[in-house]
Amino acid sequence: MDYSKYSTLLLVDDNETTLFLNEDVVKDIFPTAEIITYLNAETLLNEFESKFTTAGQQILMFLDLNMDLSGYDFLQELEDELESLPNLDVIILTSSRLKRDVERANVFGCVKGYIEKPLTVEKIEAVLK
Amino acid sequence: MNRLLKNIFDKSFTTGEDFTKEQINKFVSLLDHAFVTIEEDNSLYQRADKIAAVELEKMSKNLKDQNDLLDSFNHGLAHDIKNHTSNLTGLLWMLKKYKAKGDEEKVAEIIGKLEQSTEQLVAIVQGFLYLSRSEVDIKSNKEKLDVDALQNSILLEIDYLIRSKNATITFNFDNEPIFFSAHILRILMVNLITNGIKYSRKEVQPEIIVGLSKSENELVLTVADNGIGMDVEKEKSTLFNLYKRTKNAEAITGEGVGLFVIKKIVDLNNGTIQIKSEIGVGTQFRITLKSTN
Repeated sequence: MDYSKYSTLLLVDDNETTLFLNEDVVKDIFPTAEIITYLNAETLLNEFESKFTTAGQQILMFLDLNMDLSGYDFLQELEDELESLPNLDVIILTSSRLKRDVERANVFGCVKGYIEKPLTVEKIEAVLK
Repeated sequence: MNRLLKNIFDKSFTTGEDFTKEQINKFVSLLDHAFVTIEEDNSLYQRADKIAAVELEKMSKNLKDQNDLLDSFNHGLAHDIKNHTSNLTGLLWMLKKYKAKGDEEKVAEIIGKLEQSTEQLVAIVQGFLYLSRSEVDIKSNKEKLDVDALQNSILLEIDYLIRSKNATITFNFDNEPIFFSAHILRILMVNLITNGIKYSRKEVQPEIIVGLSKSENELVLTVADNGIGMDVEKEKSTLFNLYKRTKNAEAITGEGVGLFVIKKIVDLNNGTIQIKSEIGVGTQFRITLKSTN
């Protein structure tokens, strides 16, 4: 796996401490990518088309499942709005592994995998291998 | 009545005599009376049955509502606790990493985050304990309230805060006897008074007025302060979220769990919350609680 193919990393979580931790972990494995954090999924939804649909941009998003706007509802709204998301890969982050959550992850083509927090380099490598 | 009938029959069988007209009339009237009694009993029984069914349905709906609320609360709570423990684990790993690198500045930043996360976790568990105790109390909340004891226990609980901020607390309670859980009222009052004192304006001595009155089958609790105030319209959608802090409260230490606990308790007691506030003037909370007596 060529980790350098991702030009942009998006970290979406409604907890500041989690973002602080995750940013530190992804820096180690994607040293050249631009890292952008979002505390509010709605904000990202509004900005996504203008900021993250540039040609040549390859995005990897770490998306928290348990927010005011759930991670899956966020993806659904994003798909409805943009029809196709060819340059986006998503890793779902959650605090506990529930079967129905894993099943729902498979509905979205952009979802590469599912990680139970806390995030580590090894867990990211296991999903992307 | 049975004995009377039996006597008439016994006499007729042993003597072999026919029933007299008088006996038959007596017999018919006794039967009539028996039927009427049975019918009355029946309709009474049916009515009682109906009332019981309605009451049962009401009770089961009530229980279901409370269960749903507790369910969603427990689910949210389990998620919050899990999130905090994984953050603590992550922070410890990060601490080790930067300690090994000798990056003291980063180490200090991580320790700060560790402290904050630990405090929040303690506050969540505290809030949970409060709520599980008030659950028990809901069932025994018909006790007559000892208002003096309630006031004293509140003042004692936040004595340090009151003295350190030089705050004045005025209790304005109705003279009528009040039947309600002292435990629930204490949690609500302590949380609201604490907020009022904590979020006071600089150079302004905090003044908190606590009111408690009865109207029909409701108990009305008001807590008014002269603090920093907030923009209710802007904040109302998220005001009762766990850890939510209002915009102008960011400079004050706090865990942001007080209002969350208050909202849960009021919901569990079928109550309402109204907030009036003006920035730089103060905030007034008005809480109603269903009184069961």
